Amino acid sequence: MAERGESSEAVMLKKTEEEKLRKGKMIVGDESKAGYEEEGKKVKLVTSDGVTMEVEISIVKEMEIIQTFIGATDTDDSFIFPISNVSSHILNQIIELVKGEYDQELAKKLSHDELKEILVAANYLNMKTLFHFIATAIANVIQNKSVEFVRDFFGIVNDFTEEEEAELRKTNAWAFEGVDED
Amino acid sequence: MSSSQNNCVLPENMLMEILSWLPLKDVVQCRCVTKVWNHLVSDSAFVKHSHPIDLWKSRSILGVCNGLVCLQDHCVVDEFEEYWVRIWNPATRVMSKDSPHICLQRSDYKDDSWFMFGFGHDESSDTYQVLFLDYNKNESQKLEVSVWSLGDTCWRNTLTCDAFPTVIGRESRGTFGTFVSGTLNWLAFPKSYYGYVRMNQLEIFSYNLKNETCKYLPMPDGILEVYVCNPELEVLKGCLYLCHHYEDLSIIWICEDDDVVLLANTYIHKVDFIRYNTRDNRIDGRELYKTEKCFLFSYDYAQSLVLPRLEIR
Repeated sequence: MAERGESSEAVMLKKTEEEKLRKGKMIVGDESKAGYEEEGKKVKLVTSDGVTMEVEISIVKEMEIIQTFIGATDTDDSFIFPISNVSSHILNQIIELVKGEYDQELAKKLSHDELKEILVAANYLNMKTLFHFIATAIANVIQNKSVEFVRDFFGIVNDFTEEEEAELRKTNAWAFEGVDED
Repeated sequence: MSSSQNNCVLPENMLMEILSWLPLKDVVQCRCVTKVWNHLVSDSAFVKHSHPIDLWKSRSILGVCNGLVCLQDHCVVDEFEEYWVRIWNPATRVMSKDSPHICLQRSDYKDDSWFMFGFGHDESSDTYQVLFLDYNKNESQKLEVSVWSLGDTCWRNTLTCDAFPTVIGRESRGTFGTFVSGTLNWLAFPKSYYGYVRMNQLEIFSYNLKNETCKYLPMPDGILEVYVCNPELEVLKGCLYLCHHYEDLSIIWICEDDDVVLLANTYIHKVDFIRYNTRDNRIDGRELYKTEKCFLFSYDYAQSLVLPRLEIR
């Protein structure tokens, strides 16, 4: 089943690639005009909180889920895409990060919840670069922190018994040396 | 999904992505977060990205096999000594967790040579195994063999036999067995460790990982009847060979297509290898090496994607 799903997705992606290629050729034919048009183009996205946002095509291009759809339907300016899993707040953060060319300094300003929600959004929108970037940013936050900090960060409840946890800590004692203060 | 609530629980694939960017030390810590995390981190699918090498503070390398390195460590707690091993793949940078600890009462052992370890691979079950030979119970005169297979939760006693001849390890490298084609091998002395023993009196204690049996092999024909000096078992091109010192010579015995070949080099200063075929009684070749590193130990090591499994249950 999974294999079939994958292959149909692969076919779709392939189709998109072909579309891109065709468009690429057109641009070569009329370079200046097409290039200019491409730059100014915006795509309307409707967020989970019902806000319609116009997002530059250069940013939307990184959202593979939308790219696939645009490629398949070949819609242009009037196109509106609902992104029901992403709030306007998070979409704004994403836009900032993409525009800022993925600067870790920008990620440091994000709250823990924002980081997690951006990761979920990046996964949903299939933004590969953003996904890796945020995963690294989160890894930076939890690196060398206590287990309690990590649980708190992810909102996870400890399900080990005291003995089980003590045992695990004992057998992996070397990993618990020199942990930062939370 | 409001950013003011701390209720965003991330799915597994995202957690994996985040954890895969952490140094190994942090990943190991994360095992204690929840049971699900412990499982996630232990899964072999977790090995996607390379982590910076976080070297375990190991005392010694116990052996190398199929690109896996077996590391041994120990600690002393009051009158007890604890030993344990880990298995590490330097290519994928995956480290197994600790094996179960072996706890020994120090007063039971005269010295270190009363127990020894070895590391090997059993092809039939595709398991990596660490052997523990125990001469404990000083008075019992029994040799007990226990095996820990990578992924198991305990050491399993596989064999008990008479403790004589006395098995000895490679002195200079610790008491570790030599692994070759499914067997782990140690030299065995016919009587007391400290007595005068001639080379031709030695035997090889050979343990078969698959069958969990042992046998004693005699020395090759033609071995010099000289007093034992720094004997060692090594592996060359998939064959076991024997090396010892005699006067100013370092002598190596290899069985090659039923021909016993003696390799001798002039000990310490010059490294001049002479290849001598004992059956035909002639010198086959001679090679000079300009190296001053003849006292460093080396291991044959080839990178592999064999992953030590991290989980214990």
